[in-house]
Amino acid sequence: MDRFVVSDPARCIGCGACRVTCSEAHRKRALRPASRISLVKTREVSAAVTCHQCEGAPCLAVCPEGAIYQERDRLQVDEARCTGCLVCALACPFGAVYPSAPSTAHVKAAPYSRASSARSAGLLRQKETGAYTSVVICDLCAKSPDGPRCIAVCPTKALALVDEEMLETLGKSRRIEAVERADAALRGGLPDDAFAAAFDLSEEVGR
Amino acid sequence: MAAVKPRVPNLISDRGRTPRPGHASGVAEGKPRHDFSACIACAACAAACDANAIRIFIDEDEGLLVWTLDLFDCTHCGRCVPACPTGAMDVIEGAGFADEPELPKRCLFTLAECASCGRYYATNKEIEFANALLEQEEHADAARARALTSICPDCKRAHDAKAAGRRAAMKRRS
Repeated sequence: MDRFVVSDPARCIGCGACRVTCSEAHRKRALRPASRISLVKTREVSAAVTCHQCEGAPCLAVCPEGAIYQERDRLQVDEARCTGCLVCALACPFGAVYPSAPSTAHVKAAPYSRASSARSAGLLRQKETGAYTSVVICDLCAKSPDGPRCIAVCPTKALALVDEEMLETLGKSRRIEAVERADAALRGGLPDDAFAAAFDLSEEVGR
Repeated sequence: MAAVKPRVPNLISDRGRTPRPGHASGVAEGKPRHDFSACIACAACAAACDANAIRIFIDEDEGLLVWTLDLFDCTHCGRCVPACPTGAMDVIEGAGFADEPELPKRCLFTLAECASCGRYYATNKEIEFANALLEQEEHADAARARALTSICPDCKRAHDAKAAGRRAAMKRRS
């Protein structure tokens, strides 16, 4: 069942301790030293967002190499198999799949990248570097004995692991209802409405 | 408990991919051949290319992604072939190095704008590829992902953060 790390935006101060400890904890376990959690800082909200450990994981379904696998309730990436095509990053409904380039020190192509941040998003800029990439996905610190490190390190205790019971209390019936409604809308084949419905759905699930 | 889901490549990519016997690494060497109709410009080949013969440029003014293969730089190592998710790269085995290499091959791909923020985030062909794969899946999660492929990951994250805000507010109320 989906257990995943959620943050409380009312408590999150956007310090970035979770991101630092995430890449550091994975580096110590000989995994890609890149952050699997990201901070959203807008005028209205500041929160850390990461993988939702979807049960029917879309990233796993689209991976051309079979590099993503689901072990019990967590997704993991076989970093040796990943070719960095980033199709999973496109498919992820939460934008929680990140490319990780090893280091920019030996990046060969485009030292003066013309892809400015103004018109193109991060995924395209990653492509232009031509550096070897593996994607990283939150694995709930599968190789650390004490569970997700970001939760332990958060100074304001904004992060928590949501498990089945908590989802139960947050109204499971509503979620199922919302899923069914959006599903019906999607099968109806109305692209514009489906787009809106999917957003409504992600909001409903989020509650 | 079902422990580990088997690692299998997806249905589209797995088609027509044959392991090549006779090569210790499973990688055939030779002159690369690129099939534009199958290519989605995912840039896996550009990442795999150590000699930097395959490069990606982004033309933001025109909204194009330029994929280039320069045979002058190519070492015929064939590493682009296993990296390709669609089978667009192939090699002509046994083809030698030409004295006068051909001109670099350039392929143009139109970029897709995010429906939410309007920035370029992927090529249209790449999104079509992801959509085709997600439509084969039955699970509701795949249907949701399919509906959101027209939005860039940055915007998806922002929406997720807003949803987290609402979730936390509801928890406090109850």
